Amino acid sequence: MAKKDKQIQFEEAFKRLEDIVTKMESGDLSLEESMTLFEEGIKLTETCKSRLEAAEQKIQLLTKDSDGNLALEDMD
Amino acid sequence: MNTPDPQAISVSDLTQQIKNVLEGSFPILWISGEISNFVHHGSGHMYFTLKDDKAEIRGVMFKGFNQFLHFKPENGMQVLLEGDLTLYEARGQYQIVAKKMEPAGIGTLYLAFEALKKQLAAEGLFAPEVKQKLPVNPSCIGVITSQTGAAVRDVFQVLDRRAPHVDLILRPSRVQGDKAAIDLVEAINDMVTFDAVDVIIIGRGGGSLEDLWPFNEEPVARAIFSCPIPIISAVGHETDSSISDLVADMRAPTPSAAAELVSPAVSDLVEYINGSEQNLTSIMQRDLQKRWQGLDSTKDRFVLQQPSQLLKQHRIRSKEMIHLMVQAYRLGIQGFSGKFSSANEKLLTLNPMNILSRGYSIAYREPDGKIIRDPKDLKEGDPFELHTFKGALRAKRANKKK
Repeated sequence: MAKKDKQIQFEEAFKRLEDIVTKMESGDLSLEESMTLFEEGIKLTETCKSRLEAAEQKIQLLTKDSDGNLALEDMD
Repeated sequence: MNTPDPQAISVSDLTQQIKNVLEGSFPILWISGEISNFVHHGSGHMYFTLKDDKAEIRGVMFKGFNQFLHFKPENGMQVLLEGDLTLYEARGQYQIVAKKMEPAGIGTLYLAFEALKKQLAAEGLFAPEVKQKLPVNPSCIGVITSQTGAAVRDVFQVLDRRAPHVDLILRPSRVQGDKAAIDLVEAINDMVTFDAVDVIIIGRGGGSLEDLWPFNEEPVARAIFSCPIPIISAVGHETDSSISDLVADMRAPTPSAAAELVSPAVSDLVEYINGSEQNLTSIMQRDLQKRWQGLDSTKDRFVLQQPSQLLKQHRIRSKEMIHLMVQAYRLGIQGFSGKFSSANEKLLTLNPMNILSRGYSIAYREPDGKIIRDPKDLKEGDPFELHTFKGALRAKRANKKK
């Protein structure tokens, strides 16, 4: 719940990219499959790079109220 | 002349036997006492007597061990030392050969440390096979340390420089004093309950053994051990490990070193991504070339041994298509894959060899090779080349019909 969308996107995009490279390296794909994966892979490299370039460090504090409920607070 | 009594044994033999008995009876010992007659010899070895109010024993601490001492032993000092009881044959003296020595107060902490370490090791808490792997590419890192210490700033700085795309969650905790251990345990449990981080760094900057003590307490060790999130212990100290170091999935000498360890540098990631892009492109190019070669070899059967200019053109077009396609992908043109597939099919049906085999022919104007589509392309008497299925022939345009 605390993970931000951009992070999930980067992590997943990165992982998917690794999978695609592995798959394409293994060969055994039809032309259509190769093309589709290739197209997706190149798009992912762009996604990943733009995510990294846009990133700014975010620090939050994990706090607990008197009832023991945990919450995140932005840190100055 | 007296001959030795056959019943008598030599001094050496007796001493050797005493040595065996003595050294075999006392494994490693912890001894407390007061230092006296202390000499730090020019050779680097330390010689002293350890005594209490009723007895004394000779002691030695060799250079190889005393160079790690955190303090300077002095006469009158109460110490705790660990060593072997040995017999020095040349003098007929037994003595303690010390391996570790601590001032008495700290010495008791050492005893507790050694005892807990032994116990937890026996329970298998330090076993390499129970350690969890650190995430390769964490998106969120949890930090448990003092909010006011230098350690937390160092961690933030390292991560801001190396991996600003990684989020941080700090769970502040006391890291020294009586209540620190309870706080550290609660902090670990909070991180686990909240379940937002991929890896935890727990630690503090350097300090004295007493300062670092919470990281040697059993509840902290057990909380680290049972933490389902991979956890790095980073307690700043120079020599011995803390219990938390031994039980954690990974240890680092300082919190900032832990931050380095756990964060993939953005520059490395970008390099990897660029590498993947090149990889994908070259794999795709090779793949397409292979497929085109497959097509070309099929066509070679049709044209037999006549490498026609048309086929060459066709090959050139294939290469151009591959090149164009890769370019298009690099530029991110959408839907090109579909376009390429249909272009591919077109090329196949348009393969001129298929047409020539059905009895058609193609005329090329000489010398520029332009395909003749219109009678106006040729003047009377102009030469041209006629390509038929089985080969080319040269011809000239006849006079216009009157």
